[in-house]
Amino acid sequence: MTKKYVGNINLGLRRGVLTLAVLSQLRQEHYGYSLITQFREQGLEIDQGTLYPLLRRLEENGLLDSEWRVEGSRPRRYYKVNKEGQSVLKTLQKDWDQLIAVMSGVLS
Amino acid sequence: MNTISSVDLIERYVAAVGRELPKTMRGDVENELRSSLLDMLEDRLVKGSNLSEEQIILEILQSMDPPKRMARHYTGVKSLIGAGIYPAFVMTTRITMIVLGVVYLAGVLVGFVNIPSGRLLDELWGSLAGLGISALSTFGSLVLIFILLERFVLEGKEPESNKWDPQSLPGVAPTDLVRPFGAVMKIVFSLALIVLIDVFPQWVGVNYYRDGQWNHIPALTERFSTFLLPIHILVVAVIVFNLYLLRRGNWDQRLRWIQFTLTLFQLVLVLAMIRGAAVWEVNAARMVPVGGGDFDADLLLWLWLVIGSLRFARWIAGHRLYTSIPIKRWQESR
Repeated sequence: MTKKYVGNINLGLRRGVLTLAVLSQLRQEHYGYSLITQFREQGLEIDQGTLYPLLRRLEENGLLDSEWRVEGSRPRRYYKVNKEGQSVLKTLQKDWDQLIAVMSGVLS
Repeated sequence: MNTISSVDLIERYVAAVGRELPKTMRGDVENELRSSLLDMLEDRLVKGSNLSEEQIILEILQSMDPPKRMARHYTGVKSLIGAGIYPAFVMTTRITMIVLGVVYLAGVLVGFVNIPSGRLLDELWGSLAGLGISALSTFGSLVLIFILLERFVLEGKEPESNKWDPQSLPGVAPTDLVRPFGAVMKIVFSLALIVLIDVFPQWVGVNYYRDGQWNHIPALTERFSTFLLPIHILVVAVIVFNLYLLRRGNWDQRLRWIQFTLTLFQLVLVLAMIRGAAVWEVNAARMVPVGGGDFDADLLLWLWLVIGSLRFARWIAGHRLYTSIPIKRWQESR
C-alpha cells in the first residue's frame, strides 16, 4: 500500500516536470520518437503512452504547433512551441528555478 | 510459431487502440501511433538484432500498454460507457425511446375513442406524465446494462501491462472483427424480450390509456405457452453467445457455425409458431372497448420470417460457410 502511495507521489512529481521538459525541448522541432530518444540520451525515460497524449494536450491548449510531413517512406508529425508556448515556457522556467532554490533550502 | 507479420501486428495494435477512442481524435492518434511504432522498429533494426522483425515488434508492443489502457492515456478519463460500445448505447436508447413513444402515442389515440371532449386534456396530461416516468426508468435501465457490459465484459479482459500478448489482438479485416454495435444490440433486445415475456406478458397486445390508467388487451394465446421453453433457451443462448463474442473481439469459423445454428433455430421456431393455431391474436369481442375488430398478427410473423431468411441466406453466402462444413473436417480427422 505504502509502496503504491510513494509510486503515486513520484508519478505526480514527474508529470509536472515532464511538461516543462517537453516544452523546453520543443524550442527545436521534433517528432514524437525523436523526442523520446533525445530524452533517453539525457537520462529521462518517457513512454509513448505519456508523451503523445501530453503533446496533444499542449497543442489543444495552444502552446504547440504541429504539422504532418512525409520524410523518407512515411509521414511524421512534427511539433514545435509557438509564441504562446515560448512565453509559458519562460514563466514556467522562472517558477522552476525559484522552486529549486526554495526546495534546496528546505531539503538541506 | 509466429504467423503474423510485423506490419499486421502494428496495424492490429493501432486499430485496437483506435476502436477505444472517440471518432474526433481516432484517425490522428492512429497515424501518429503507427508512425512512432515504425520509428521504434527502424531504430532497433539499425542498431542490429538477432531477432526477426516480427519478434522485435512483438517485444516493442509488449513493452507498451495494452490497447485499452493506451487509449485511456489519450481520453484522460475512465468512461462508464467506453467509446467501443457508445454508438450502440446511443442507437439502442434512440430505438427504445422511439418504440416507447410510438406505443404511448398509439395507446393514447386508441384510448381516446369515445371519450367526452371535456376529459381529453386531463387524460392527455396523465398519459404524458406516465410517458416521462417510463422514459426515465427505461433510460436508467439501459445505462445500467451498458455500464455492466463495459465493466465486466469488455474491461474485465484488459490484461496487466507487460503481461499481454500482442498476437492475441483481433485481425483488422472487417469480416473478422466483432462489431460491438451488433452484439450489444442483440444482448439488450434479447434481455428486453425476456423481461417482456416473463414480467409484462400482458403488454403484448393492444394497450390503451383511459380513465387515468393503462389498460391492456392481451394478444398471446394459450398455444404460445407451449413455446416458452424453446424461446427461453434461444434467448439465453443468444445473450451468452454475444457476451462471449464481445469479450473475444473476433470471429472464427467455429463461432460462425454457432451463429448459424442459433439463427436456424430461431427461424424454425418462428415457422413452428406460424403453423397451426395462432400464438397471438385478439378477437373482435375483446376489442370492444376500443371499437375494433379482429386482430391477427400472423402476417407480422410471416414478414419477419421472410426478411430473416433472406438475411440469413445473404450472411451464409457472405461468409462462404458452405466451404467449411465441420462434419467434413471431422471425417477427415478420423
